[in-house]
Formats: sequence, structure tokens, C-alpha cells
Amino acid sequence: MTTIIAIPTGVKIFNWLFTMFRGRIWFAAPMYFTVGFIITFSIGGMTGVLLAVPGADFVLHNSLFVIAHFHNVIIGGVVFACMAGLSFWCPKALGFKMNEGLGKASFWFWLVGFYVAFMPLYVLGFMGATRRISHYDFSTGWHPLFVVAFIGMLLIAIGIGCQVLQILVSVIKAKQNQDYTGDPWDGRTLEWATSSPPPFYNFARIPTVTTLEPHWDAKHNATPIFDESKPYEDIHMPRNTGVGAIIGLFAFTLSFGLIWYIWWLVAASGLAIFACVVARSLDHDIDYYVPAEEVERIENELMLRRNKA
Amino acid sequence: MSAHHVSATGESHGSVKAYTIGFILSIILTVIPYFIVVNHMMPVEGIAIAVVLLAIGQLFIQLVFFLHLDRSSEQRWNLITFLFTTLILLILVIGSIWIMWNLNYNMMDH
Amino acid sequence: MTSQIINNHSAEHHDHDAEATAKVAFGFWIYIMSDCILFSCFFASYAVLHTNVFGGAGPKELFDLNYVMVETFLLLTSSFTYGLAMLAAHKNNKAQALTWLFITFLLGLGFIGMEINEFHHLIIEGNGPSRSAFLSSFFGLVGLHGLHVTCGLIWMALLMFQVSTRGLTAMVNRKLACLSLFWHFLDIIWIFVFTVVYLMGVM
Repeated sequence: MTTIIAIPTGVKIFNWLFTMFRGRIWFAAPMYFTVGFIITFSIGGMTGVLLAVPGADFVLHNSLFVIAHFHNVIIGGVVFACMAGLSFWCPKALGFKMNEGLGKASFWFWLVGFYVAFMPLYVLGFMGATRRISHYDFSTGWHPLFVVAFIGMLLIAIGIGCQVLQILVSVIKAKQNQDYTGDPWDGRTLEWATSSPPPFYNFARIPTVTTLEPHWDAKHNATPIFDESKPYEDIHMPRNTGVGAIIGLFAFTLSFGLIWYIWWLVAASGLAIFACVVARSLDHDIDYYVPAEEVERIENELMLRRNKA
Repeated sequence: MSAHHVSATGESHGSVKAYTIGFILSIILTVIPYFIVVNHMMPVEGIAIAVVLLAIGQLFIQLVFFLHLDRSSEQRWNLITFLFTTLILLILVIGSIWIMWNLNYNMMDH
Repeated sequence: MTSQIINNHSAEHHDHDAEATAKVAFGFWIYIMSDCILFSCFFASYAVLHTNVFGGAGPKELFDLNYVMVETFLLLTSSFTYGLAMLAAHKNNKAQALTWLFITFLLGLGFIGMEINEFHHLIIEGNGPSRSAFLSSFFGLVGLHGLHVTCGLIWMALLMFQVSTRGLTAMVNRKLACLSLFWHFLDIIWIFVFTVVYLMGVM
């Protein structure tokens, strides 16, 4: 199990490192989180491999070492990557860039806070501290390390505060930080070839892809991806529907009832899911075509926005 | 072998002949293992192997004659995903049996 | 949103139907593949646990092979008759399609009826899913298959309704194609249930 996770992940880490190697890296806030992710996730992964040694695991099972390990990979892996992604794609999704200064501040508080909070937990695990305890004797000698961990937690709390502030400030100052070009990071991939935010149909014309980095090559290597000479065509779109999410909601209540033996909830949820499925099946009006004239009108509007840059 | 029709809407479909051949072959491949088991026509290990092979045979029959899975270009992606799924399936089943057998062996009193 | 929204199916969009059906069928095929993985997990569990009878009855004592053969032929024939329904639908013969769909439905209903009867007998004789690991994995695997067949029957009833009220439109044909994949796939899973659980249990 550990081998199946660790070996390919190891390959991926080298993949990312060699992608960065000898490149010109732009250290905006998303990149801070990315580098933080690679370092922190790797360390967490290594402690996971340590735990895979049966003798070590016998001693460390359900200790704070395990907690430190999985928070190491979850925070380093999932949280930092999420934060990098959020600030990276916010301009594309919402049309404005997030506040850089607060993004960087939140990164530093999160990074330092994480290590100060969780490295003591590795030591505590070796000292015999188990998980999910509400009380320990001072004579264990664990107290100083828990205090250090507490300070780390405060730093993380400040980091989260910075993020909340970042969201507020970014929204308030959205008008001044509009992304007019659709390509705020001088991107290489196709999403940056649309406006920010993109129109509901995404691409008015299907791009012709002949290289690995189509948008980059279109900008710098004279390899066009859109045939501007062709007229716009009707675009086939699905109608919006909430039925998937609603069925998901009732599936949640169904599962909840099944776990806790709440049979009326199981029956009601089952019926609700059935009703949604029947309603969806009987609905034959599930798609439509956007007329070419409408596509042209929207594209012209977007062109005006791009020219404001 | 089977008549391969593609309708105007692009999906494959067979013919009465194809479905009937598939149906009859499936019946045969169901009845044979039934009699092998019921009449103890082989030693036990032999029965196990024969019955599994016949099941795989019937799988192919139904894939070809009922699901129209073949090597044509229209079915190419369906075939690829099916082969990938089979790979995952084999890893899952064989892996589980192997691991649990090992676990049980190592937990025995010896 | 947009001011003019054409409600689809003007002449030049007809060829989009072919593309759309092929895409939807492929998408549904991928779902079927994921369903295969789900079944393989239950098969793996049964393979590991089927000898753990916890002092109770095992496959030899509990399974009636003749009964299971009848079930098998019901399901196999229903797979065949669904194929005939699809052929009728391609020839745009609504009445014939509905007839074969209805026969398929009856055969499937027969299968489920027999399976519910089998489960009922096992449970009232004390051989329910909590009796032993063998029975847990048996009810899990065979029950999961039965649950799929039941959902397929409900779906089939819904589609018979839509065929009779709206006729064999492109959309209805697309839905029939998806159910076709589902129904044939259920018989394929049953081949392995029948072989691994019943035949190899009794041999």
C-alpha cells in the first residue's frame, strides 16, 4: 500500500522539481504556496514511509507521530495546493486578482505556523503521547512541547486571518484589480486564451492544438489556435439543472439514515431520490443551441473588455 | 463473423441472427458447466477451472453478440476502456485473494 | 442569459444527434466500467470470506442449483429479448419495441421474484446476512446485483412509458441505448455470480 502511494508520488515530486529547474519562476503568491507544498508534502510523505515499517508502526500506531504525519501531508499537500490554486485561478473565475501582499503574508504565517505546530507532535509521538487525549500528567514531560505547538497554532490562526482579510480586501478592491486580458500570469495553457471570467460556452471556436503549450505558442511562436476567418457557429449547450446536486443531498440523508438506523429518513430519502430521477428522465428538454449571432454579440462585447487593458 | 451494422445515429446494433446465435451459444455455455458440476464429471480442481473458463467464454459471447464489442473503429474506445477495467479488476480480485491468503497463513499457529 | 434560445432540432442540428448519442453511449459505457469495479470489490470480498461459515450452513447446504438455473435462464432470455426490442426500435417499429420491452420486463420481474423468494427462505431459516461472513458476503454480492436489476426494471418501466407517450424520438432511442448497455451488463455480471457463487459453491 505504502509502495503504491510513495513510489509514483516520488516520481511526481521529481517531475515538478525538474519542471521548475532552470526555468524563470515568477514568485507570485500562488508560487509561494506551490514551493511550500513541494517541501512540506515531501517531508510528510517520508514520515509516512517511516510508519510503513511494521516494527515502527507497532510502537507509533495511534500516537501523535501519526497525527503529525498525516497533517504534514494534508496541510502541505491539500491545503497549500488549494490555496495556490485559489489565488492562481481567482482572476480567471471571478475577473479580478487577489491581494498579493496579504496572500504572501498568509503563506508565511501558515508555513511557519505549520512547522511550529506539528514538528513537536512528531517528538511527542516518540515520547509516547497518544492521540485523542484530553488530559495528561505534567510528569510526562510533554507540556513544553504542547506549548510550542500551541504557539504554532496561533501563527496558523493569524495566517487564516490574513486569508479572510485577503478575501475581503480583494472583493472590496475588485474594481481596481480587474483582469481585462484574461491572461494575468502570461500563461501557457488554453484556459488563459479566454476572457476572465469566460463566457458560459467557454470557447466560441474550438482551438486547434498542435503543440504542448498551445496558448504560449500562439502568443510567441506564431502558431495560431483559432481560425478567425471562419464565421461563428451555433454552440450546443446543456441546460442548467440542480437535479444532480439535489439527488446528492438526498443521498447524504439516505446514507445518514442507513448508518444510524433511522428508517423513516431512509424511506423518505429513497422516495425523494426516486422522484428526482423520474422527473429528470421525463424531462426531454435538456439542451439547446446558442445561435451564432448571439455568440458573435458576446464575443464582440468581450473584445471591448479586452481592449480596456 | 457477426453482421456488423452501424445505425444512422452512430451506435452499433446487431441483427436477429446475431442476437439468436449469441443467445443459443450462451445457453450452451450455461448448460455445460451445470452438468459438469451436477454429475461430478471431473475432479474438483478440474471442475473449477472448466467452469471459470466456460464463464469467460460466455462473457466473450455476450460482449460480442449482445454488446457489439469488437475491434472496429467505432468500438475502439469502448474496447480500450473495457481492457483497462479488466486490468484493474484482475489486480483487485487476485490481489485481495493473495493478500488475505498470506495474512491467514501468517496468523496461523505454526 | 441569452435573448434568443432556439429549442433545438432544426434540420441542420440533426447530425448533432448522431454525435450526441455516440458520446452519451460512451459516457454511459464508462459508468458501466466503474460499476464493474464495484462488483469486483464484492466478488473479492466473497472470494475471501466464502469459507467462513461460523459453524453454520455453507453453500452446499443452502444452494439449490436447479432453482438458480431457472433464474439464470430468465435473465439470459431477458437479455436476448431486450436485443430484439432494440432491433425493433431501430426499425422504428414502436409496437414491436414496446412488446419486446414488456416481455423483457416480465422476465426480469420473474428473476427478481425468484431471488426475493430465495432470500426470504434463507432469512427465515436463520441464514440471514448477519449469520456468518459467508452469508454477509453472499447477500452483499447477490443482493447488489438484485438491486441493480430492480433499478433496471424501474428504469425500463419509465422508458416503456416514454416510448408509448412520445414515440421513438432521438432522445428516447438514446435512453434505450443506455438501458441496453445496462441490461446486458447485468446478465454478464450474473454469469460470474452464477459460476463463482453457485456452481463453485456446490461442486
